[in-house]
Amino acid sequence: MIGLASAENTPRPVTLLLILVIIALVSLPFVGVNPYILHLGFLTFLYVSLSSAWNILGGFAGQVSFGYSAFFGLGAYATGILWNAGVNPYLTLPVGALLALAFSLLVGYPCFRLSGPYFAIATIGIGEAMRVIMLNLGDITGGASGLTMPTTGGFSKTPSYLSALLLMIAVLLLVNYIRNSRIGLALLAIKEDQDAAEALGVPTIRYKLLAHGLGAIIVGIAGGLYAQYMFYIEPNNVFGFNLSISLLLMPVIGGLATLWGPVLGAIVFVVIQDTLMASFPHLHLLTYGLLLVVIVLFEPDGLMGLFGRLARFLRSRYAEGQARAPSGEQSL
Amino acid sequence: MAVLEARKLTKYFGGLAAVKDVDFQVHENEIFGIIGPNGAGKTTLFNLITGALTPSSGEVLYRGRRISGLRPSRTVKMGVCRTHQVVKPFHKMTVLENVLVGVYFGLSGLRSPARARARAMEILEFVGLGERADAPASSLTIGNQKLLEIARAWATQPELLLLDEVCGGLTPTETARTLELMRKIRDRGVTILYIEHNMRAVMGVCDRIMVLNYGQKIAEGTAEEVSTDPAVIEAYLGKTFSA
Ligand SMILES: Nc1ncnc2c1ncn2[C@@H]1O[C@H](COP(=O)(O)OP(=O)(O)OP(=O)(O)O)[C@@H](O)[C@H]1O
Ligand SMILES: [Mg+2]
Repeated sequence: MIGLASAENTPRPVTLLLILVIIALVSLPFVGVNPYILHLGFLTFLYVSLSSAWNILGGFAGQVSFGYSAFFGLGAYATGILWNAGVNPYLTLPVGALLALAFSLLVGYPCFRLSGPYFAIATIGIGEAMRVIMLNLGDITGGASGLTMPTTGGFSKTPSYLSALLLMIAVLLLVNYIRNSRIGLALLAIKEDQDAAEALGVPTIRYKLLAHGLGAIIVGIAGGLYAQYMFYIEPNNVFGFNLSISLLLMPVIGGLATLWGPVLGAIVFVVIQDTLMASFPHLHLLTYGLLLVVIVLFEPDGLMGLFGRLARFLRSRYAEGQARAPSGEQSL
Repeated sequence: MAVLEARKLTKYFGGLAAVKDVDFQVHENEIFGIIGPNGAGKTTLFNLITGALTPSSGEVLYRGRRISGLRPSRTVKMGVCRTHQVVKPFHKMTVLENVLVGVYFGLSGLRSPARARARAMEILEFVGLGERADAPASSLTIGNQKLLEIARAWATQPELLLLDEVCGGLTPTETARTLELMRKIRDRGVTILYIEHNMRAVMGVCDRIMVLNYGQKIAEGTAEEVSTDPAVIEAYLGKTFSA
């Protein structure tokens, strides 16, 4: 069912294909491609990382959080503030990651004793509280007018593109490891029945803290990369509720508790944003809303579930065709 | 030393004493039965022993160490595991994956996936679910879901196994099979606490039996002693019949 017992691993041709894709993606900036492609690439890699990060706790362990922008904001501001103070921007990334991790533990420790919807509700409050606090810490965060980075780094998109690509690859490897290990099994058990999991020896709070912490580290680093790329951050943006919602929407649309679902969700997200945002600034929200309704009503497993159904349908058609073939020959 | 000892164990839900001042000792390798009418506090007692609930007062000692108040996952690591009266399978997992959770997170906590899978398969064969290993847990009959509860708990390698009405709702054949399984588990050196409604099942398999009524212990002894105890007859049949 979830592939753990059968030790289902990615088949070799697929692994080879993935390596080729990665080589292609890495070489893209060096073959003089249009900077806009690099921009889309950066956004996609960033969103895939964010979406996959949310999926660890939200998808595998079923703990819905509306508060991940706090990690993103902490990462973004750690980079912004330290970079302005003269620290190498890459060295600021681990600082943001650690801050986000610390915050995830601080929030998780009391909140993971709450069950079901209460956890989700608590995360809304905490996320919004962070945004308001950061808005009011004008001396440090620049308040509503935001923080501008030193722009000494030149305007090449290549470093950011490659950093985001590296982050995405690392995240996908991590999620692949989790889903094939006992960590993934523990998280899925927590999602299905936390009491039963605990009664079988799964330290449920510790595993939720682990999943939350891994997500926070990834999102914190992503926040730092975002600050490096945009040269400008603002609390309403990087600590925004909108961002938290986007993080949740992507894996839900793509397919929770899978490796590729959040990837698909993020790609759909970037495409919709890129094609609709410019011409119809509010239409993309409507599109997400519709997608979400359709998914909740018809395909709780998201696009991955849809593809699975399609594959099964095609296979059965193919099998039918095979079965009918001999009789077809006879009638000739 | 007793394997398990409860001292003045008490649990209040609001004003209701679900378990009140219960004392008992369970000895090495015995099958200790717990019976009592609906709502007598049997399941609550299990919840207090395994840490699903914290007692209002009193304590539970496992081999002399206090375990009441620990989280259930901690008590599993000490060798105490329970099944649930209302079965709690992980529906979306296969039967084998359900058992794997116990294998991975139990007392010894196997880490190698290959060895864990082999061990889980062995356990499924042992309880008689080997052929359903790859079936989704949700597809099992209620009888098999009860077996799966036992299999998962057994997978954690408990030294003290708590079984909550594992024969409830089973056919006579299934009941006989489950009781046989319990004896097999006991023969491997495990101590068993067994809650049951089905009188014949309890009487047949238990070395000693404790009777609860309204949260309090009203009798304890062998099947024969308990079944002839006036207080027990009264609790089960009501005052009118006891005369
Ligand atoms: N979590 C809870 N909150 C409030 N009351 C509870 C809770 N759990 C049990 N009770 C109450 O405590 C009493 C004992 O319940 P318990 O489930 O322990 O009984 P039981 O002996 O297992 O009964 P049964 O034979 O029906 O399984 C009942 O009156 C029950 O309603
Ligand atoms: Mg009960």
